[in-house]
Amino acid sequence: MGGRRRAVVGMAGALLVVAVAAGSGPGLAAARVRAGARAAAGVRGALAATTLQIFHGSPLLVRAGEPVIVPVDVVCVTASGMACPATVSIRAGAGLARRAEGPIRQGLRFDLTGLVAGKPGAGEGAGPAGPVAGSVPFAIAARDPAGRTVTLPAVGALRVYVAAAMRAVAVPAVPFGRLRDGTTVLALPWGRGAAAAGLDRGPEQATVGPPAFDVDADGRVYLLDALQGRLAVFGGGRLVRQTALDVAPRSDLSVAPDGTAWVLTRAVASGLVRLVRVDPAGRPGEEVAAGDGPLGQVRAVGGRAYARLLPMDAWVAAGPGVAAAAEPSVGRPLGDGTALLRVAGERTVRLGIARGERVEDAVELRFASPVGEVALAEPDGRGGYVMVARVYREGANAADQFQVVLVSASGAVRTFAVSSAAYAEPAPSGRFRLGPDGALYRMTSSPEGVRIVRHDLGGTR
Amino acid sequence: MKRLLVAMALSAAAVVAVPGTALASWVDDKCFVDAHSVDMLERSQARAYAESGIDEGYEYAGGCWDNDDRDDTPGQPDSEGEGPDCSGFVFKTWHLRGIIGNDGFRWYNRLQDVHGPYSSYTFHDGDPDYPFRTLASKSNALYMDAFAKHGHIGMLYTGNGPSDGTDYILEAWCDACGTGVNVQTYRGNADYVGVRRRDWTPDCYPQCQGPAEVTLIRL
Repeated sequence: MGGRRRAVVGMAGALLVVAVAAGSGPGLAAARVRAGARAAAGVRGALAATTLQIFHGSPLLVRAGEPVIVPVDVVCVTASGMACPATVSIRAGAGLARRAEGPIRQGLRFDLTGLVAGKPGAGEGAGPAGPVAGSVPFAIAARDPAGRTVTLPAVGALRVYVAAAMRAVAVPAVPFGRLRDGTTVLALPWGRGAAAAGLDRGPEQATVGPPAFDVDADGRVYLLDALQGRLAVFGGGRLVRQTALDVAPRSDLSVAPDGTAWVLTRAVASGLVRLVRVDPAGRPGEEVAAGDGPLGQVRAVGGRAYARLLPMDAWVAAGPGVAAAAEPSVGRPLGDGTALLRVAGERTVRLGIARGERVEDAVELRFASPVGEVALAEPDGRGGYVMVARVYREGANAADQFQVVLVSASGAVRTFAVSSAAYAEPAPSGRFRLGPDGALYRMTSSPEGVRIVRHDLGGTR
Repeated sequence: MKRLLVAMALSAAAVVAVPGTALASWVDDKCFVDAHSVDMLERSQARAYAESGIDEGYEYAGGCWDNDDRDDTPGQPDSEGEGPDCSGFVFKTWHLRGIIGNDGFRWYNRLQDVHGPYSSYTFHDGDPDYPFRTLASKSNALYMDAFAKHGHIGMLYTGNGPSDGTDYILEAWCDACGTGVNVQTYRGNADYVGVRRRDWTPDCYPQCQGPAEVTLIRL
């Protein structure tokens, strides 16, 4: 990260603004400062950071009465490759009026419990005065020893939601190895050409293949074949069309009901994340920049796309007609003014629907095994959810599998497990899709090739 | 057999590259020897060191990179090009010594082409004599610990991962991917174990006031 000349990166699609501010004070909105920014800003001094980036671990969705703790870490590195002592501050509560500050150190956490504002609820853990529910807005800033500041988010605030009520549901364990197979809807061998999928493998590296896929209303499979530089569309197992795209091995894909495809990827030359639109006829269109953090997710909702930007870990709208400097949402927008909240704990997954500052249909799924990731979470439209979590076991009999969970509004659970084996690792967000037909689709791979597998969930969407 | 071949190749790569008689490679042109012992290493300093490798490419058995935020040898696998491989990146970042089992810390210039004697297999399998150990549980991993399987290893960039349970992993990922910070699911993948370098110096040194790992600030 030495010589990139990048002072201000504005994004036409209102995804994120990265800027730098020299000197003290609140600082301009920024997610990250890197080397070029230092040069452009004219900052001098051996302790000026060339990398200054905030990573937070939001609890996102808590039960009324629980503590609201936000851990914060800052990567602060000077041009000479030395760690620098950053200072972290957080503003939180109504109007972001409350503020606290401290030097960055391992295990730094901010306690926002006293700032929960909302109406009394009836959640589990109610104390004598009764719990309150609502949300706690917050924004984090980091300052390097030269006085430069970055803030997260760049615009507006992040938020922790406090649910007045959260149903706890025990998810029945599925023995490791008791897996459901599903039906293969597309199979491609590794290799080159229209009827193959690109693969990068070798000793002492990860094995990498297509990072993501999606399925449209006609059952056609859109495969992001990054290593062959294309978005390929298959119907009935045959190639329908393909679009040449310069996409990085780690990318994400989402297809809208009208066939518009959105690809979130990283530009090879600049390293910047960008969002690419491919119209229903397969023509690539406009691109918007999306910051320079680790690659996140994209989802098409209605006529627009929403990108989950990292390390902000929040969603912003993108695409034509989107106003600049849009405020982020920690929940994934669902297109009706609500947003899906989901957060993984060590053995739990919490889900809820954010409507304004309130949470509805909050549920905590409790697993018998540790949870490694939430690979998919979708509302079922009836107050319940479809979700997929990777569960694992460590030790001599180490194992892992994906557990599919359908939980109804009443808390009834159906569950089964599918294989997590993958010869080539897709992006974590690219492995599962809930199709317009209500079926669950999964990308899997073996030494022979890649497959898209359909699992009937016994309902319609 | 595969494990043996990897170990042989990496042992050869542990030796400083010598200019060949054929066309000069990127390593021949750019890299030089510059290393010295150091007394200590904090996790924060290891992460700062590794920052220089981000966006600099990947090279199997490699270990030399400049700091210009680009892969100078893209699409040229196994050409003595720019970048580390996964285990070489961990070796340099953790300031390990070049002889198997040796304790202590050794700093290497990023432009020194050194891979070290450890492969992903040795990081994964461990040995009581190695300067790193396997974690009993991956849930105990701290930043700059690693997750290793047979064939790949990456380091935990921060303890504050995304809300979906994934982790930010700092890794020399693949030939086409280069080196960088990626969202990965190694913690939940049974192929991976947690690996911790021995003898980290606490980040708070020399002002540590106790064993407490958490600083809580109330608003």
